[in-house]
Amino acid sequence: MATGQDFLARLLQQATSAESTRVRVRAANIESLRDNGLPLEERLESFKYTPLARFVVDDLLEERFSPPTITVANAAPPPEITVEHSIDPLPADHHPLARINGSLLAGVVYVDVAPNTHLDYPIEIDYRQAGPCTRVCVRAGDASRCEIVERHVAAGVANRVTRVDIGSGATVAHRRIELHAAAHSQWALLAVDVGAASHYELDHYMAAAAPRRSEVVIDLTGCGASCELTGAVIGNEKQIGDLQVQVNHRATDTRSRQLVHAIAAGQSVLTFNGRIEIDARGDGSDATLTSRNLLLAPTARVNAKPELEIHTRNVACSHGATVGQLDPQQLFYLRSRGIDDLTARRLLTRAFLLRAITPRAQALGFEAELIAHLAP
Amino acid sequence: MTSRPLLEIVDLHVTVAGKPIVNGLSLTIGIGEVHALMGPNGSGKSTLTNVLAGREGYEVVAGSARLDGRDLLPLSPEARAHLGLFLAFQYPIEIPGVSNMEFLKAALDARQQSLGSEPLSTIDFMKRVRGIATELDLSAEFLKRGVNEGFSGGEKKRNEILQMLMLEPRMALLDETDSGLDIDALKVVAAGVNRYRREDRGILLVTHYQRLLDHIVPDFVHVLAGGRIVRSGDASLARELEARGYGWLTDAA
Ligand SMILES: Nc1ncnc2c1ncn2[C@@H]1O[C@H](COP(=O)(O)OP(=O)(O)O)[C@@H](O)[C@H]1O
Ligand SMILES: [Mg+2]
Repeated sequence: MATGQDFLARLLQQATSAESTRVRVRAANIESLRDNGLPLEERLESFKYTPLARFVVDDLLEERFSPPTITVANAAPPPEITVEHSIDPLPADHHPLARINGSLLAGVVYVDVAPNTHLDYPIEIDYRQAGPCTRVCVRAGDASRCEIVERHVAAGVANRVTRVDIGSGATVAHRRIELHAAAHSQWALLAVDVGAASHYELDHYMAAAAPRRSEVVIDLTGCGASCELTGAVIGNEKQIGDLQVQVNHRATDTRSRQLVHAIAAGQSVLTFNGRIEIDARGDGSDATLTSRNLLLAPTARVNAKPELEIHTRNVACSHGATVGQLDPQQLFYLRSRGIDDLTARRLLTRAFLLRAITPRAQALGFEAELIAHLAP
Repeated sequence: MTSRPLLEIVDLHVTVAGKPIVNGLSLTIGIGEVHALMGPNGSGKSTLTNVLAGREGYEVVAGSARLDGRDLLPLSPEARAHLGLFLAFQYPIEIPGVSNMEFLKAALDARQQSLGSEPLSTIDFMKRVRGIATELDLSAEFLKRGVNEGFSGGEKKRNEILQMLMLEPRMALLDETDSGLDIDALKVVAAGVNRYRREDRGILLVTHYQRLLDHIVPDFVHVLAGGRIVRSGDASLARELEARGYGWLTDAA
């Protein structure tokens, strides 16, 4: 792991080399990093279990522009896929890790789904061949419909930014799994903007790593915008997994749902921080968050923290978190039928996971991949 | 009518949280016999069946329980099941996320394995489970649902009988499988139990009511009070209890 100063010096040197100054977003990010440095010493509450420094690693400086592979089968008309070297800064670029991302990028991949287009096949984003720093931006036009399937399965360290911009009256279903590379530090940021009367569905599954931190920010910016997040976080051995979700209700009659199950085995430490913020414009908002956490070993830990911040009246909000172990009564019931203890535990663990697996995620094989990660 | 003992309980003493619940209970069920165990609420009937099945939370302070001559008490719940013991729960447990079908297959696979037999093919398994479900008036949709999840009281009880018929245990303990059933469901359950009843099997029927015993006629009836058997007799004892209640026996106990 680099010390902050070391890393920064090398990053700035690499980022300002002549070849790469074409990317406009870089300037702002580089400047900010140069002026402010990296706040590695700060004790930020949201970084309690996954300190920033864990994601500031030399391997990110690998000079290689390889975006993820993006494919869409048989789509008519196909979405427009472009790689641009000039991008606008993201709202999330205030995030120190997004700044690193922004400084090192050589290009951003845009996927544009034209207004009124309904894609019959998913936009598949596969990171197997991708370099450490990537940025993908999906723009779904008004009244369009599409599905994104994102597989974060790269071999090494990762610093990924994904942006989804949804116009009005559109529907985007996003299925995402973050797996593998358990020995490397993995950071990902997903920033979503949901326009008026649009619906965003996010199935978000992740296996912990050394460590893996995933941040999701969903802004409901148009009247009647809605989102539904269903997800699971799974950890084994000494892994660390941290899912930070923030849903911002920034318009009237917006609706959000969150259901996240965490399963911690071995000596893993998992965190789920689900935050709902309803600002003064969020009259008539409706938000729920359910966090269920399962400890499979006395040495495992979960930190579940639902948070609510409400700046208006006339909202319906509810949240709840539970932490527990496998139910001894259920175990006994299974064992009384001759099912051995280990098999009974597996059945119940899988059952717990399944309650947070959508039918589509199931069809994509996500459940099986996550269960495999839990195997001793 | 004395046959070789199948289940033999001798001077059993059980405490729950330090409180004595079963106090010197002895009961022998011969191969091929059906015994009914009756008694007021709280007399320790479920404690007995739970202890036999190996549920946690009970302390056996004295006595023994043998199935086919094998000491049950040191064994895990699954090992007891492999010896052929089956408990139909008074309150079957709900397991959302594990489908009834998956559960039955896992249980049957475990049984086959314990017998050293090959697992049933999926097709044979499905045929068998569908056949039994139909007999018990349970729809195919019911097999896909989570184990006991959102089942009505009657469906839960029928699901216990379904498992019993699938697993073909040697000794079945049925803990109030009749309570909460309407008359039609009671007939269905009784028919299932009668189909299971065989010369090489034993049944212990825990019940409050004579009405189940109109359909499943027991060889012996026992009355449990204060954690021990205070009276034993034949089927006529159940009718007497129906007419007179338990008071005349429990007062004496
Ligand atoms: N898990 C338990 N914790 C504390 N007391 C219990 C527990 N299980 C049973 N008991 C007590 O043991 C006695 C017998 O209960 P039980 O065996 O359920 O009776 P029955 O089935 O005959 O109605 C009751 O007084 C009951 O309150
Ligand atoms: Mg009882």
